[in-house]
Amino acid sequence: MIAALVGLGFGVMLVRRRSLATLLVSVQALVLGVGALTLAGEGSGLAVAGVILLVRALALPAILAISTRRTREPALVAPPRSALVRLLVATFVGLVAALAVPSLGLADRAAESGALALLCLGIAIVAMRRPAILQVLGIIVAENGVYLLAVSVPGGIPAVVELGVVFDLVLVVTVAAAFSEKIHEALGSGDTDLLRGLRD
Amino acid sequence: MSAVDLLAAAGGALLLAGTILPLLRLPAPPALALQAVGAGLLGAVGALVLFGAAPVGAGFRDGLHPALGIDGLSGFFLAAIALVALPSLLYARDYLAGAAHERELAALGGLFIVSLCGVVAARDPSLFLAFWELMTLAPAAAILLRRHDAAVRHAVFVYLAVTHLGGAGVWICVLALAHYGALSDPGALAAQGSGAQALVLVAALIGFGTKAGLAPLHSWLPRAHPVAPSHVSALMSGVMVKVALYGLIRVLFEWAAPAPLWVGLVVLAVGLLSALGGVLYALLQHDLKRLLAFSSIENVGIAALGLGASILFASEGEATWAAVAFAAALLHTLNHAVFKALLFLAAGSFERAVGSLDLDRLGGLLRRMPWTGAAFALGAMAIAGLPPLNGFASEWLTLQALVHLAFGPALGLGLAGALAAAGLAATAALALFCFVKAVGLVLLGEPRRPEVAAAVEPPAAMRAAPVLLGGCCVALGLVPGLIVPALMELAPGGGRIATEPALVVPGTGSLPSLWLGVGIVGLTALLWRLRGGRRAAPVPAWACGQRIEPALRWSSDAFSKPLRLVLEGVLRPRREVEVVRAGGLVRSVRYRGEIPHLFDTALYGPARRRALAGARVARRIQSGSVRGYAAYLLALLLAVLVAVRVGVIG
Repeated sequence: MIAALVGLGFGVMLVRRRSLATLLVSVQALVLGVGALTLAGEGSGLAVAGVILLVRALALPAILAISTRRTREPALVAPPRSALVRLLVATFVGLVAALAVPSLGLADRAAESGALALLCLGIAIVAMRRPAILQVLGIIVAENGVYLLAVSVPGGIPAVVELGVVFDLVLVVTVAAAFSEKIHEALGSGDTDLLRGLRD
Repeated sequence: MSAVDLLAAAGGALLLAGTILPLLRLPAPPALALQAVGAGLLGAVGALVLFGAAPVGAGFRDGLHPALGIDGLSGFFLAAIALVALPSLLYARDYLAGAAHERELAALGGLFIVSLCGVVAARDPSLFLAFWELMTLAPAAAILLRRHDAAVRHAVFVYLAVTHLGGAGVWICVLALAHYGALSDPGALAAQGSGAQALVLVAALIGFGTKAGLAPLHSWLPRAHPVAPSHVSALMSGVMVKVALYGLIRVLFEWAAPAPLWVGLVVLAVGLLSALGGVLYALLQHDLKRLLAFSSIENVGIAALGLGASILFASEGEATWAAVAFAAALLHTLNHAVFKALLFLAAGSFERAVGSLDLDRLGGLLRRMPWTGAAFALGAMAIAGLPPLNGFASEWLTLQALVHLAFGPALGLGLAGALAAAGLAATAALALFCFVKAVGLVLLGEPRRPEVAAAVEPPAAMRAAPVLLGGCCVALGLVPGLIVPALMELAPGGGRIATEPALVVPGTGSLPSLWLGVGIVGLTALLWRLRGGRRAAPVPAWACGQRIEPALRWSSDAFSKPLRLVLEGVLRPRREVEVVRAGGLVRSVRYRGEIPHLFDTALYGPARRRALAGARVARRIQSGSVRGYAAYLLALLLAVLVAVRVGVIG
């Protein structure tokens, strides 16, 4: 499962279409959510995992899909680096993160490595992609890494913390989507590199 | 719940109600009355606890669980806050009447008092730091609500910038103490070793010292205090800087106790620098409120001299003298709160009456505003350390402690004590010089402008407030011995002297303040009687044959000229003479003189230039690109992971 999650993260780094990248992140959240459901046991834990699955795999991608539809680009924004360079950067970042991660106290060492790799991969996506929507997807990939860490904690973490985090994420994505639309409205493109001109 | 607990709860509730209700459209006067009753009740509870009642509320705790409480030291400071807040609120009743934003200013004044009381009553780090920040922000908001021209905005910016930079020291100090568990268990810090103790002490000296206005961290004070509404200036100079001293005292004498010898020497040196520097620059000011602000630095320095001496005595094992010096510092803190509030309130009345506080454009106000003028003169005599007023009593006690330190067995400490005693004596002399100038230029002589000639007394409440504080100056000067034993008991090592009106100090004699007062009053009455019906005959002054013109009158600069000449090497005055010639003849000569503030030019100026140069370098990495910032974050994260992996961190 961890390999699948990281592989989907690589996909977000490589694909050019925002809609396809959103679909990949949605699938990543679905895989992660199903894993969390299997670990959640019964009762309130299961309900919380279910809510989080719905929000991460459906609500957030839906917000981004709506935003993507409302900000149609005349042409795809050219990536700053070629696909090969992006693949190399993603591989380097993922490997360094996975190998350098210290013991975080979890029983599952693979989960620790995978979580850190996803976290760093997500930030690398923000650094390597220009469209605002893809940068938001990078943040969600990074956040999925943190969630992987949370579901791997023996006994889980308090439901209130999990719900609080997912609420924050919804807030961040909503605000980011709104900003993306504003950027598109003002500049005719969701390319965040155009914002450099605002620097005084 | 005891009666004292109930009083404290009622006081707090009324103070809060008086702060909130103006925002719900309650008129300012009843809100100010509620605030006054609340502050008065809290002050009464503080005095009761100081003089022996059981502590109220919780004790100190290290966790972030909000708690309030009042012990002896908090009680003393609550009483001091109330002593200043009551007349200030009375004054504000007429001062704010009809002013723009009257209700908002009343609410902000209340919030300021809440924050002051909150800092001294907080019993956990979260409340302490929250009230500390509120104490900084509330007066800034009040200043900007009242005036927001460019000069005032700059003054508030400097105030917020310097106090927040210094305030980082308070956060570090309090959070470190909480981390080590030293708030609830004062011995815990010593167990951590000298490194942790030094960190806490240095952070406390910077953090609390900045807010207290101790040199060289005082730069904000002469800028911010003069531009505040007068009742807020009174609270800022009267009690806010004292609340900062409260924090310093808690750290030095309780949470990080016993403070090492070097801390005592540093506090003594900083106190001496503040006292001498403050009074020197006060003497050179042209604006009355700026003069008073610099004088606050001087008086905080005198209190610091007492605290430094107390630490040094404690390190030598002289518990009784450590307690005497500690009590001297607290007594001067209280006395300065009273007479400085008086002087700021009276200055506010002068400003309201004549529109300016330029010392060279006042004069003759004692005759036109007899109540306010007489109260101002009384406050000036008190702050100048004239007997039998309160300033004399606390300066005498501080001097006794320093002289005793000078004659101690340790040579180094003796030298430090001798220097400090000589410095305090010089400070007292310069303060007398300074306030002779202030009284002479403000109250005496002829009015220098038509507005001054037309000045009249302010409304009753604005007259009553300085007069009430003047009464406190007299009372505290006549019977200081009734308070000092209780203050000595607050010192860590304890110590007690007899409770009687006079100040009785072991070994070096006593100050029979009450009899001194009776003697001075009797002598004055005798001279009055001997004078009979005779009056001084006014005669024209000799001016070398010139016509007597306003330009020939004593000015602020003329008064301090001899001192400027003596200290020219230190003060480095700048002079510009511009001669305008036409057709080979001198048509006019323009003179401009300025005395730069040495701390600004020698310390803050270079620091600011270096900071700006550093910022320009740092700005190169501010690319304005979201992707660039994400790359920095990623690089940092990977570097930390690798550093942890190879063992550089952790």
